[in-house]
Amino acid sequence: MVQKPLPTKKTSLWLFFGLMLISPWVWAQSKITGTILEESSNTGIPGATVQVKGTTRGSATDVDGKFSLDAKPGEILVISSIGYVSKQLTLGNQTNLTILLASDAQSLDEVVVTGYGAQAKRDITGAVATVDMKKALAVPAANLAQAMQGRVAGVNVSNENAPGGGVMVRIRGFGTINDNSPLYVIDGTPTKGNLNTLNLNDIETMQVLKDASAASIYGSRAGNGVVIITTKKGKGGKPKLTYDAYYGNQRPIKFLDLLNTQEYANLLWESRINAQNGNLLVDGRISDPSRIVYPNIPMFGGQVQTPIIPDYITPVGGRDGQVNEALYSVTPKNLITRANKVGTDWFDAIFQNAPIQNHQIGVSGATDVARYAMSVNYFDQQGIMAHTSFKRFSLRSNTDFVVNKRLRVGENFQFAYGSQVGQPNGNQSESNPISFAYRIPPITPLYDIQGDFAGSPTVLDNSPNPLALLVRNKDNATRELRIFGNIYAELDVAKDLVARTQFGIDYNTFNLRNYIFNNIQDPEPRGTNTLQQRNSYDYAWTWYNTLTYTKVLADKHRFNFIAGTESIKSYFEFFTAERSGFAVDDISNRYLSAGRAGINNAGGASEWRLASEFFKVNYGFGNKYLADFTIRRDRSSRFSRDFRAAIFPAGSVGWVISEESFAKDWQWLSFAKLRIGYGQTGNQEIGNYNAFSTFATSPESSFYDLNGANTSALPGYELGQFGNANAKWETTTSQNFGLDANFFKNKLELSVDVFKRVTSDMLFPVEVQFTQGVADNPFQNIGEMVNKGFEVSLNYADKKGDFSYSIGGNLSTYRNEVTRTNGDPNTQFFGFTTRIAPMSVTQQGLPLSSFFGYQIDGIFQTDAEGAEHPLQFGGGQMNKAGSFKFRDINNDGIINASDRTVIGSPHPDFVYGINASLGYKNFRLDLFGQGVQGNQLFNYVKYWTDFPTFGGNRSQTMYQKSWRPGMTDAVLPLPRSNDVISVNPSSYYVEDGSYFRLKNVQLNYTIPATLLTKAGISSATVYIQGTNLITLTKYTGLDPEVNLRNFNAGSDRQIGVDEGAYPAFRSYNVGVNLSF
Amino acid sequence: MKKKIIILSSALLLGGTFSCQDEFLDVQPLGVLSEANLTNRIGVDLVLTGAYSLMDGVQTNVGSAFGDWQGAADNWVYGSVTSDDAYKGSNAGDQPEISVIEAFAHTPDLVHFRGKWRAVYDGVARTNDVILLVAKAEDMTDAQRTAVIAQARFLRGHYHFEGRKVFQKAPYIDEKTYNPADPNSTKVPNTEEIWPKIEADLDFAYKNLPSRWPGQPGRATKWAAAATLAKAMLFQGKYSQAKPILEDIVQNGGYTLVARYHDNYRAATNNNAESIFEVQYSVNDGAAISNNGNRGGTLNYPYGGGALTTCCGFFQPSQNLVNNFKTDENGLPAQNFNSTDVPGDNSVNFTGNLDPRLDHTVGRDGVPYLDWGIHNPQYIRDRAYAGPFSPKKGSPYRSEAGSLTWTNNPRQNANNYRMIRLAHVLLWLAECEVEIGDPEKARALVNQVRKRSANPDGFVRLANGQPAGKYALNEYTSPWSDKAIAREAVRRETRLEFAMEGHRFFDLVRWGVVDQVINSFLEVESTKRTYLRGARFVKGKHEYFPIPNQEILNSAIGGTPTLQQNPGY
Repeated sequence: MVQKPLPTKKTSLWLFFGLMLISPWVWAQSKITGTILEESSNTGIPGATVQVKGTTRGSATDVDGKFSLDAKPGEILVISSIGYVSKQLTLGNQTNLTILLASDAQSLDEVVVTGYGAQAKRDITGAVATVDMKKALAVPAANLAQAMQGRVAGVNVSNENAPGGGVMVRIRGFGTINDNSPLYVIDGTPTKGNLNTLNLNDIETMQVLKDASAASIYGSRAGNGVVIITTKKGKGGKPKLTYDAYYGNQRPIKFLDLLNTQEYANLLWESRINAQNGNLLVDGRISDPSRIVYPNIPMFGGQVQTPIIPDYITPVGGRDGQVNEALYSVTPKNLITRANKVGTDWFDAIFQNAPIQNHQIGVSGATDVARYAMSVNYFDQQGIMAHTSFKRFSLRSNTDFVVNKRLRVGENFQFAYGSQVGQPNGNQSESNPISFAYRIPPITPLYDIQGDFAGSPTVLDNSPNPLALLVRNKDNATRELRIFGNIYAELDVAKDLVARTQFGIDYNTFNLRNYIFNNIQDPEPRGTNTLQQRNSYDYAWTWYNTLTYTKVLADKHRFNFIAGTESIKSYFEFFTAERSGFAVDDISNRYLSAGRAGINNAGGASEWRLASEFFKVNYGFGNKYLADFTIRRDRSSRFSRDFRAAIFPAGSVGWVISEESFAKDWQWLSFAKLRIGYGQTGNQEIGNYNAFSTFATSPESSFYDLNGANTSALPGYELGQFGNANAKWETTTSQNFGLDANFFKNKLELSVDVFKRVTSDMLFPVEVQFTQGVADNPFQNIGEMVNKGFEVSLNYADKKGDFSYSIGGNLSTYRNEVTRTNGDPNTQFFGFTTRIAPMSVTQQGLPLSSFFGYQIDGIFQTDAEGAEHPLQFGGGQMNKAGSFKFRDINNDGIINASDRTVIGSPHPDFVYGINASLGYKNFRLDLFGQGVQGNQLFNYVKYWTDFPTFGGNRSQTMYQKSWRPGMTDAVLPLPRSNDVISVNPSSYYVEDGSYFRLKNVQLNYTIPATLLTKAGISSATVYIQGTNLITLTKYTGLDPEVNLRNFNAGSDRQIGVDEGAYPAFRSYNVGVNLSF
Repeated sequence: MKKKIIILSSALLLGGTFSCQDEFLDVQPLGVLSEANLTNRIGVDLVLTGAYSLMDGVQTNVGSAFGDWQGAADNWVYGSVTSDDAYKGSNAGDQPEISVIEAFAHTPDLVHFRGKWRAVYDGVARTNDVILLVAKAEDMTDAQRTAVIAQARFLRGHYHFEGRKVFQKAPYIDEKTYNPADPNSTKVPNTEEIWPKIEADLDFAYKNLPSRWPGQPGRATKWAAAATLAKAMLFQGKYSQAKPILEDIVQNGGYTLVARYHDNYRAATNNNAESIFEVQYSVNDGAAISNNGNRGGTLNYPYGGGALTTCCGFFQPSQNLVNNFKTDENGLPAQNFNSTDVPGDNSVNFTGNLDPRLDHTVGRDGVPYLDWGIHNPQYIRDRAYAGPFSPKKGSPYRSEAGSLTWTNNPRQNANNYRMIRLAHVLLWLAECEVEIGDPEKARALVNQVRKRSANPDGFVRLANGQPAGKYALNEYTSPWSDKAIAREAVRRETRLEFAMEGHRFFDLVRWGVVDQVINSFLEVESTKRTYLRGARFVKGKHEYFPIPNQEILNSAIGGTPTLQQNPGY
């Protein structure tokens, strides 16, 4: 063999910028050629790969299915192409081959990328699921995690639904009390960043490493599972140009059923009368009507028996003929607004039909010394909520070069620009347009008499006009630029020994100019306009080096060793500034320098680093017995020196039963493998500086005006963070038992997994008692959590002549239990609280984030019944007819805060996905549905719509199903405007959150090639599609797909609370896939 | 050969990260300081300013579960809404937990209490940080150390005083207990009476602070410490010990009553000749949402309707309070004042005699509301719920909008809270005279306070220049031979002078009359404010608020809480 000096640091540098290819370089071989044909049609299969087994030599077919390759007799060729059954054949003396492939999606020889390497599906012993990208990409989506929804057993995905919004991915339950999102590794470069700025259309394969035996090679960041993604590489043959596009129309599915103006006024009157005449109420009825004191509300006619709907809301209660519209004036403020006597449908006003489109152009190809794939993508989704949108432009370039016989270099890069206009004040907030759509009374119209946005006068309470909010927010786009990718070099050091070095980068910039109008018409106007600007950038680089050694001994013992090191550095820096008092609101004036007042700014930075070493060995005894061991040591800057290092071991074994001689006769069994795995992974999501006690300064919390200057304050410092230098790694220990089995010539494919995950030394920011002062709470190692569950997936595919079909499904479940908090079984960690007490609790013996509140046992029908019941919150009206009957949980004869208990769980019994595909000649119909069963949701929207809280609109439920004398099927108490008790968190809010959604119905037509060749088109498919055509649910809120409240760490302690989450939409799309 | 290559390449490969020694992983926090950065004269002063900054009771609550108003310096909820002075106000749905406190239906898990507890003890911790840093600072003179420690101890005494009067069983945390590096250090019992320690801190401040800080009226002075110390003694009924201290302030403090009562309630006359200690508010000072403006009172403005954009209609004066300002034909506080109501509708037309302080305390229809215009029904969020009156003392002037208010929102303004002013000292001294001295001296002190408000120059006037009410306020001319009469007169005067300033409930508690006063108030008021029906003050329980339940849980060591709950909860 030829000896060459190893690349020096300097020479390896330029290699990074070169391009190259994995391609034949051999010791003794000859060129062979061949054609790969589709078995049924005898047409060439382009893009199929032909690999010499046990080597890195390989090739791909061109547009006609032809390939050429260096190989020698006796070597085994592995021929594979996605969608076909792979084939292996031992090369004889032929130099020109014709190989037929049968179409099949289920291929055991498919090579899947796992951590720092790849394995044939057949040999995998951990719990690894492969996402069928063809199917996953069929449903329009902005980000790759959305595409996983319902596709993979054991992976729960929930969308935020807003364009460019977040997505919650939870693999095998909730493994920690903190951040449970998985790690994404794209072409070897890890990220936990924004998935919307990664173009999912570039994805070739996606694998989910579900258990520790598969994931622990990623050690400290693998506790929540790892998603491995590889992007499209060029395939053999001439350059191929592809164009894929869809265009669709999205429509809202459902609005809340609220009151019209008359109903609104009626309910207002009823609840005021009941409140003001409580002393007259006997069994819920006014006992002496002659003594009734009627409400006195100037808007509705003053003190009158029944409300009078006015002609104007501004001036309050104005009547036709009394209001001089000519006096309308903005400055001085004298706005005039007519009443909407019928009632404004605010949901209809803020939601709309909206377009979605996606265009992807790709060029790819390969030669002997290079392969390349480039793409351009444009994605544009307008939200069904007016003026919300997400756009993405991205460019990708993946190239690989063969520099010489032993050296390959390459790069995978994506450059993306994302622009999002979100809902003002964000999703799941009482101050966003969705919340204002039910918080604003129906009598308020959209516009005032001059056609400007109308607002409610103060007597109609504080909701601003949500449409105005959206229209004025339409230019407040967050803009992100992202560079994501890597460069690598791979060197064949010796026979069977490959060294690889890869440097990856994830670089982001973020910019937002958020301009907020003065809203003079609204009841609580801001008083000024304001511009908030936020700029930030962050980067993370990941450098890893591996040595891979592959050896087959005695034709039986197959070994694959990987040893490697990795280091990561991540840095983030931001700057924010604010001004107000802009002379005009024009877009051209929305820059900080144009503001004259309210000058304010802030900035900061943070950093973390990780250094690791890892080792992995795969062993196969024939194809029968398999074993896989990994070990990784991580050292993280997030822990103090003494606790910095942690070791994560894992191992798994597999037994391929179908290879045993006794199984050879079982014709029905094509393949069967038992898998057992055990391993540990970790979690380091504890912020960057947990070990340090630090003093911080901020004008808000540590400045004070000692000089009595009124308009300036002296700077001060305060303890900002309690450090905990003793925090160590959180460890998740998982066990997995699995079976993969194929039956009936691989037509039926079954995969079953049973797992248990135990998270110990769980890191939690334990609340420090306030006598210690107030500072950021340090994460401490407390607590333990267990997830147990199983997953099944089943697929059947067959073909009869021109007719082909497949049907499949997956189902998975987990049972989560917090087995220890801080050692005290009574310790309760509460989720968020807004206007009512916390509605979620995390406590020993319960699943994470259980719903918490009072148990309602119906409604008192008579005063006597109420009087017999334990005293509720001091009694009075609460123990009379028409009040909720609260359960005396602790049996102390009195109802108070001690009677709160667990009233539900946001965790589903199981989640599932079903898909079916029917093909006939050139037509194919795809169906895909996905569902969640047995979870509950806390419908917090009811706080606003079902109880006498603020002055906004109310639900038809409250109007019709509130208790009145004799009404035994009532669900809500007697409407009484001074009832501040019934609104407390209770079982009334908790609803069944189960749903099934027909996510996709798609009819594809492949245009016959004969019609296309003249146009220079090699293949073309067109389709029509409907998404979310059917949603089956009993949930009464906007949408059952309720996500996290936000995407910050800690929000997993408040899952399943619906504050009016952005709803899913239905869409009708047309699409095309062309290749030239 | 092969071996060599393998070894070589392995070395190359692994060298990459084995060169990642621990230095690579030693990442320091950015943009923040360690303790070592602050153990010097300048650092100590910065942390001391941080300790002062919690005088307003507001840390930075945005994004937390705590409302800014829960720890407000003026105690408007704990001291006024709970008393006969005020209602929660606004409408039924907004911040209903305050209604629960108002109706004495509160339980230890009500979040509001944690907000106050948090403000109190964050303040305490910051003062202890100062004291611990001073001990480590090497570049300070003894005089500098004493000046800093005296201020820190004043603040520590003040914060604990707040804890003691609101929660009764509040533990005392000093620098010997507190160790910032040990989160368990302050898990200490609350069974010991802390008044002696409060007094010790305030006494040290009294003896060591200067009488003025030129150019820095926000700092604690000898007289602020003296007044707070005397107040602490009054809370314990220690009149004979309080009296000489109060006399010292009157004689040697150099304070005078300002000519116009209203100058105690406007930003333009902050830190005036009457002020002994004010909570300093500043606006447009670079703090987001103008957090150093009066955030604790951010809800307590008329709800729209005025010329200024404000909200949220909270803290409405009670009918009882308004009636209390009625005066008799002699210009003295009217007896049986609550038998008829000063009307809310067209209130300006009321023809009875009134104490002019009413229209500096309460916004009522027909009367100018500062310079905003005429108060009218539009100022009120829900008149049927919480009556027709608006709070007035903390409001900014329209003409000061943008200069003495936050440019983005006048709800944050620079109208300081006068925590202690000379009138307090005079009336406390009058109390002492009633209880252990000469009631006639008490009468003279009360008259001194009344005389100022009788000054027509300070009256609220209509556009035509006429007083907005039939004001009649005179001094007490008949001798106070009877101790009970004198006591009643001093207490009534205290209520009139400091109405809506967060003192009333605590005064009623220390006078031992809280249960009678509140229950008779509730009996009448619940006929006007239906939501108060059924509310009742329980003697022996409601004098103090519960220790926040979560704080008791969080105080546990090995599962056993170190904090105890107050009686009755």
